[in-house]
Amino acid sequence: MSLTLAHVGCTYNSGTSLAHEALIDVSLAIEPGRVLLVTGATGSGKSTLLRCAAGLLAPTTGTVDIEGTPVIPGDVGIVFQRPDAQLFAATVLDDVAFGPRNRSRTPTQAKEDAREALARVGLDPDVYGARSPFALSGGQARRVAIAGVLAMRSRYLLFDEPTAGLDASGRAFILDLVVSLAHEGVGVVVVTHDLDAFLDVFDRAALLRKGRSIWQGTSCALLGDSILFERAGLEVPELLAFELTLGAQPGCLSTNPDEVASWALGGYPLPGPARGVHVHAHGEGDGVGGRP
Amino acid sequence: MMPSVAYLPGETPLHRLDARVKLALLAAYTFLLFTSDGWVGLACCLSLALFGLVVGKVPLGHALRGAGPIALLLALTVIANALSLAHPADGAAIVGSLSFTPAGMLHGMYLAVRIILLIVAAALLSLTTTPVALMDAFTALLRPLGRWNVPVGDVAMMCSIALRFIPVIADEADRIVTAQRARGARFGEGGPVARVRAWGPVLVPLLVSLFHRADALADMLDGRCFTGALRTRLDAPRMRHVDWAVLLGGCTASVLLGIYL
Amino acid sequence: MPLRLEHISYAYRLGRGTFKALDDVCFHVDPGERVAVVGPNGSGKSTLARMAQGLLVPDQGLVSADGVTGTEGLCRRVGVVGQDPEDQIISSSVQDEVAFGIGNLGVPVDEVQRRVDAALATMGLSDMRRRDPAMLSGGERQRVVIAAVLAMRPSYVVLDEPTTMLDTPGRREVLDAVTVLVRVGCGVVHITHDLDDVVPCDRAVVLHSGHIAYEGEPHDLLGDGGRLRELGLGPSRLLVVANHLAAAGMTLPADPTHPRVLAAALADHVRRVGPTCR
Repeated sequence: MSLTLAHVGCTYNSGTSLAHEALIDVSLAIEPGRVLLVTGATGSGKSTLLRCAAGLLAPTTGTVDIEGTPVIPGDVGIVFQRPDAQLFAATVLDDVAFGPRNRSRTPTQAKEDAREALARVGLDPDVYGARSPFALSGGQARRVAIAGVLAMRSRYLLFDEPTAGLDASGRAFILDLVVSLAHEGVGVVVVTHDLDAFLDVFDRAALLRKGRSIWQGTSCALLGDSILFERAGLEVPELLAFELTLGAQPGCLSTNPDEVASWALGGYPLPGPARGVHVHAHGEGDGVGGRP
Repeated sequence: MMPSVAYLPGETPLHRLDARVKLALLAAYTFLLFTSDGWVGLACCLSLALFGLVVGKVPLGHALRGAGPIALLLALTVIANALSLAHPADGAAIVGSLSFTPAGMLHGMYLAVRIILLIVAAALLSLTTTPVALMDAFTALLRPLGRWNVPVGDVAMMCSIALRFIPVIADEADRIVTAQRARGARFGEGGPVARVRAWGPVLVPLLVSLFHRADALADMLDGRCFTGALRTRLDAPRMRHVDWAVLLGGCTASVLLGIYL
Repeated sequence: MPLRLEHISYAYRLGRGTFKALDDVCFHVDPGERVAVVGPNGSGKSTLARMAQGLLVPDQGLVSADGVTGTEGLCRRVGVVGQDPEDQIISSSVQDEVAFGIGNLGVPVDEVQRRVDAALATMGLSDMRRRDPAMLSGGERQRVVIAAVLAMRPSYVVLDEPTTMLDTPGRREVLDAVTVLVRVGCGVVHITHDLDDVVPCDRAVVLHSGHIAYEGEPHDLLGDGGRLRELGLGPSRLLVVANHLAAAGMTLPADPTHPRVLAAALADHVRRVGPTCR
């Protein structure tokens, strides 16, 4: 049951002198329970892609559907940048219940969905439910907005630069959320250029450049090939650059700092630390080494 | 989303004429319109307007668009002037003491055409002058008021910021509409009450963001030590000989014509 | 004479209660010094920035720049660059924006022109002087803001998360521009939550819940993984590797956030000490 984009093209101001082809012949499939990373330089069409996938923007060519049924707004959840900019209701609970209400849930059901979603983002509905959304701190407002999207229980969730402007705890919250959503079977797409944060959280990736999808593949395939980043006009993630400089063979490079540190100190024998193999990290030099 | 009598780019002599001169000419033309009498005066004004349209290469349709919203009002003016409750000699009776007079109708048309000409002249100004140049022209003309403690600098700053932020706010509104649509909100559907209610989730966050922006701007102005004085403009448009000539010629002509016609 | 915040306390009033943003904070910057201020969201970084330019009057304590206090004195001596270029640019051309601040200082018109030319040249914006800022990229717009601030000849410039809304190339542009500010003699306060920005600074200050939780060498701060986590700062993966290496006894290079530099240092270490197990 995947969300499929088939040969999607999107041109703004088509037919005028200001026409701009934001997307050109992009085909993608978003599988339930998997995290798809979409990345590319500014202007590569990432945001346009998200809007098309959510049914908010009708593509100029191509189709966006879930098993043959075209996607309409509300089918697919989307968390925008600065999500707190969409809060409007008198109480937090009303705001979070807005989405479910629009999806034909009864007021009681919508309230229940809202309470669950609030608890999911770490805000106690009994404490925060009756507060005004405008009386919250920035971080809390952001969580309320995200709860508003989670309450719709969409089977697919798209995130647009979710870690922009967040501090360490905010980033950790987003990463946990993405991972737990995927575990529950939600198909997740993350558009980001904060590759460092998401380096070990995605299953597949799509690289965009000037509106076209120039590469798609598994995370392993992406992490081993620095040329791909350069082709997309991006910088190679720092950890990978470190491993490659020390001569790690391109392959599925490790994203775990513990593994990488042990490998480096261990004289970094080639081919490089294997992914998924956990090396015990005992901390400051108690002499107990790791199992290779 | 831009208003229909917005700037139409071009390189005609009218486009290049100094914005202050154009403003002054508009004032002079208005004077002429309302002081000249009879159809001769109107014909003179009409030909001046047509002359402006030709020089500025402005399509007639664009210029007349501003009259659209008040077309009904103009029609009513003609009808109201055409009807009379007295019993004029050339009247054709309709109902009771109400009669239709051709002279009245002509007078009504005269008034309507005069308004239309004024609209065309104003459209000529806004179609051949960038909003920024217009803003600067207004500011320059308001400057003398500073002597009587009118906060000219503050007013100019407010107007120019408002102008610059129109597209920014339009974008913000668009973003909020998109976000709410993504939550299943529907715009443009249902009866009038439903349609109006649909905009609540957009207007509230928009207003909140406007206030935040206003705060940020106020901080920025304080940070750059803004005290309310008028801004120095580098590359400020200078009056060329042509501008002076047109200004003097135009104003003199309108005064003379206004008196004689 | 430095930019000095002495025993500053400030609380925001919110509805029923108050929120103490800064609690007995002492902070100073000397001209030509580059200080990084980091901390999690809500730690008081923005309040500090607004305090330093005189926008907020502290509940307790004193803010002075070159010995002068009060909003007018501070606005002339302390320039501020914020996060969102959209809320900081009000003119329709780059040169008008740069001229705006100087005009407010009562500087004569020909001097304004000279300063504008100088600031544009310093920031590499001379060939963009007539362009509309709305058409420029995020990085270019922030450079315009920095040029506008620079043209006012402040002794100190506070940059409050200037790169948060920018992409990687934009970030680079702005960081280079900050280096230029230091080179021309301004005392720079760079507020950020990206630890990479701490590297080129002379001093690092960490704010946590309105207090100064750490003040010292950037190098020492970046090398201690445990302390970074305690302070709520999120090191990047590479920095975590660097922390592990430091914990295992390696001497970190001056810039441990640069992959090739760290790799070279590690290679050197292994060559001297031989392979080790952690």
